[in-house]
Amino acid sequence: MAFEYVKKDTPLDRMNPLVKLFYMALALLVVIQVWNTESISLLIIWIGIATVWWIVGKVELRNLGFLLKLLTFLFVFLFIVQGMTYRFGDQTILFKFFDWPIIDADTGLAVTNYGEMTVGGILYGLLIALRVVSVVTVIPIFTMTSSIARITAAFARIRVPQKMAFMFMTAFRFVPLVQESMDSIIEAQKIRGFDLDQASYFDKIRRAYIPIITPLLLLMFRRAMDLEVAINARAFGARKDRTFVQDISFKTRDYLGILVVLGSFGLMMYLLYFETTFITWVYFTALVGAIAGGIGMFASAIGLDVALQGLNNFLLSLPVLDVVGGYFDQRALLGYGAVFIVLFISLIVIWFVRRRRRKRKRARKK
Amino acid sequence: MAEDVVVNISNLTFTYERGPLALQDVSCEVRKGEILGIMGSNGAGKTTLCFHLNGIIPTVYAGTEKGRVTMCGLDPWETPILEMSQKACMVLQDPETQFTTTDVASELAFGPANLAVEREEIFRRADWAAKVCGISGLEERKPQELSGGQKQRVALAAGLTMLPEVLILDEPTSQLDPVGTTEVFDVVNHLSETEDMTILITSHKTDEVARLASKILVLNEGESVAFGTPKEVFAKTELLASIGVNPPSVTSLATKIAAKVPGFEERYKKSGGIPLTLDEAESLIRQALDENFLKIDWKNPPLAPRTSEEVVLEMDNVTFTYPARIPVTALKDINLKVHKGEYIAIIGQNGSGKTTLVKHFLGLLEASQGVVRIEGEDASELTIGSIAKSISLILQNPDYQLFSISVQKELEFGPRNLGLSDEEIEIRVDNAMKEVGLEDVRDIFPFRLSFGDRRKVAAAAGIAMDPEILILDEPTTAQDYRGRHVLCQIAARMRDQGKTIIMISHDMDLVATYADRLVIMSDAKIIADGPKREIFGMVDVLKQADLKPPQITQLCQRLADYGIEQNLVTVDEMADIFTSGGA
Repeated sequence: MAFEYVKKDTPLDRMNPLVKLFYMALALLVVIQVWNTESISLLIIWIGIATVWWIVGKVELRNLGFLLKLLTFLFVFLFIVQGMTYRFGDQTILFKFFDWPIIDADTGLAVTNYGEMTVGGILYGLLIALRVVSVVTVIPIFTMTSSIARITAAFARIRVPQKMAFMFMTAFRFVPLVQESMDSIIEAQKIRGFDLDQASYFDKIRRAYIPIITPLLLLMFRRAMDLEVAINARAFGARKDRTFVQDISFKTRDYLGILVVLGSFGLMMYLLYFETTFITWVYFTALVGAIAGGIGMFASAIGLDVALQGLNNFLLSLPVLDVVGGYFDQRALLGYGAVFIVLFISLIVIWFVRRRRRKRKRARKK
Repeated sequence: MAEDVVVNISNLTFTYERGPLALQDVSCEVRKGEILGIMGSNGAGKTTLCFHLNGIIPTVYAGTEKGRVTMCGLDPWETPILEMSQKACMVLQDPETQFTTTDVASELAFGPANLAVEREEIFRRADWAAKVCGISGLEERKPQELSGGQKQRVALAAGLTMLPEVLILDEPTSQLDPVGTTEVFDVVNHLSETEDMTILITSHKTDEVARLASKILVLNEGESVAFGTPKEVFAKTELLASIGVNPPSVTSLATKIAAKVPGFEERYKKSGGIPLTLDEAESLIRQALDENFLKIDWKNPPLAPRTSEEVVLEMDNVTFTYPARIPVTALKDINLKVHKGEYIAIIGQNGSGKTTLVKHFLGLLEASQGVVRIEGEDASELTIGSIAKSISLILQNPDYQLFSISVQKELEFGPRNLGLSDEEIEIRVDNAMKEVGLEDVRDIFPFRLSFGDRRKVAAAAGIAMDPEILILDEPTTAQDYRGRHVLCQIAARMRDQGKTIIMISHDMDLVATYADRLVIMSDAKIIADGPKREIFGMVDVLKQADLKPPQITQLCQRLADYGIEQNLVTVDEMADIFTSGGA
């Protein structure tokens, strides 16, 4: 499980879950207010602060591997869609994939072309991606450093009804159970000659999930019945004033935590509303410029740019590539358009080949 | 009514709402400090009876009741479950679902916290309960980090923190391996001895119940058919056999000998009743042999059927490691050859690698090192679909695979995946139904069937694939005596038709009766492999795998000096060698 709590002896571990919950709430509040590309660097600072929390709480990044994969997919999608449709900010055209002009009915002139990807659009995609990351990086600080027992106790403290708190806990209790059952069910159906890996995508959607989801639901239903017996046998809900074994009273470190959270939130608000000129995306572009400049200097120092330029010109002279490469704005890509498209195409090819190669098994002879 | 009667049930009749009659005119009485064993086949009403005592009926399950139940002076139908739950603690069958929280410490505190017991007191109780159940030091574990036996002991401890007067255990060990079973029974034993707890326990493990219980209640289809001390109850061998309850092997042996040798029954009746334990049986028979009342007339047990030399499954130096943060090696250097027509049992503790091993034969796992061959072909190159044509596995838990609207459709699913013609599917499904005896429920939604019947549907689904090799994964799980034999007998019949059978099991009696060759696994390795009689002789190897030979074999070994030449494994074989000594 990506967000599962693992006991570690860190200050964050001992901190009251309510503080971390408060932090999460403020993260949402920050993200809601940051909505233009000018404030990108603000989000980067916010993520930086979250990273410090991660380090203090010894939260392991690799536990989030699955989530990061999912997010990467989302980000690529965002860049492409926003890049091609968002028409504000910097209108420099980066690539032109195809022609899809939108023509104004009155003047008969093309207003915009949705086949073109603009710098402003990509930046807007980046903004959305960073907003997602700003929230996502804060969630593990809450879930991966607080035991469910403490979270439930904290919920009770802020007067969440007993039953709701128990439902929350059961949900967490059932996640690994569902995962385990799901794996067992998939295996069980494979044994009966039902092989999802070999089925086509269409087949998977059309009929494949019924033999897996149905037993899962029935099984969970049965388990829920058993759980009802178990909690009733243990007097759940007997008293309104249930005892809480977990000690979740506020200690010095909790007040300190709240101070830090409020402090970083305050800083964000100050930068956002009172120092707007200070935190424009000029700073961000300066950062990008510095990195790009550094790489450029290094490249020219070893003569890489001359070689690349040569390669680019050579690629553009090839019969098919000159047409494809022509769609790229050579200037915007610093004259590496053809190199870029070749890399892009080979990436897609490799991706497909790898997918194909993974499963190629044969049927039995007999 | 005597002062110390804790549980009093008189003429209890109960019908579930929209359901069948579950209990009919059941009466019994349990005094303080007694252990009552409740026995009966699946569906006999054991669980229903347990639910009556702690108020689950009528709070969770509704129905109509006649008769009276008194539990610690309270009537469960009048008293709220909150109060009942402090009198009786209950441990259920499935170790997974009883965990209400996410770690052991909060699990132990859950009950008393609900009752708003003081914090310090909760800690005191949790400490005590953990110590009694032998789970101290596991407080921070999560349920998925515990073994089955540990989970059941946590469930027990969690009930104890409510300071109950009565302990109700509903088949607490039916899903555990022998070690887990012993762990749980040891705690039960300890509680009854030191804490003077009243305990009600339902179980299919007759020898354990016979050892512990002070009284036994036998149920059949909701009716009480016998009630008394273990000696009284288990003496009624025929009655028990007719309702699917199996007395301890040595008890059956005594009655079998008594049927052959006149006067043997009187002998044991005089000397303290029918033998229930190994020690009792040993001294009884030893005495009878010494006094020449019995004589051993050695007959060689039937030889195992000859198998062909054709190798159908083969493992060549197979090692398998589960990829995880901390990789777990589940198989180490396994070499195994399975011949056509063999009936092999793989035995060993949970986690010793048995299931991992058979998953390689099904193509579900691929060996990290070494080669798995299915009829000479490398399994790692084969699609799962084509392996499924010839190898089939019957799972422990049928609920992982049943999804169709009717039993008929369920059985058709597998053959359809194999791409067979409609006529062929129909023939196979009909055969499978006949084999398992499911014709009557053909159109019923499998979910509505009892667990035993669902298990049969799963078995039929495996048989409908018409496999050359059938693998049974623990046929005893949640099955009564009859149920487990039904599955094994089907397998035995298939073996007679030339198919190959592999069975994974903890139940030594079952293994001894049906299998010919045993493979013992321990700690990811095969530590012994050979004909069953030889294997049961290797006491040290068995001990290393935490296994014990069947009761009968143990008796054989103890009586070896009287001219028992080989390890006998079943009651019938053993009864066969005794004749009247003439004295």
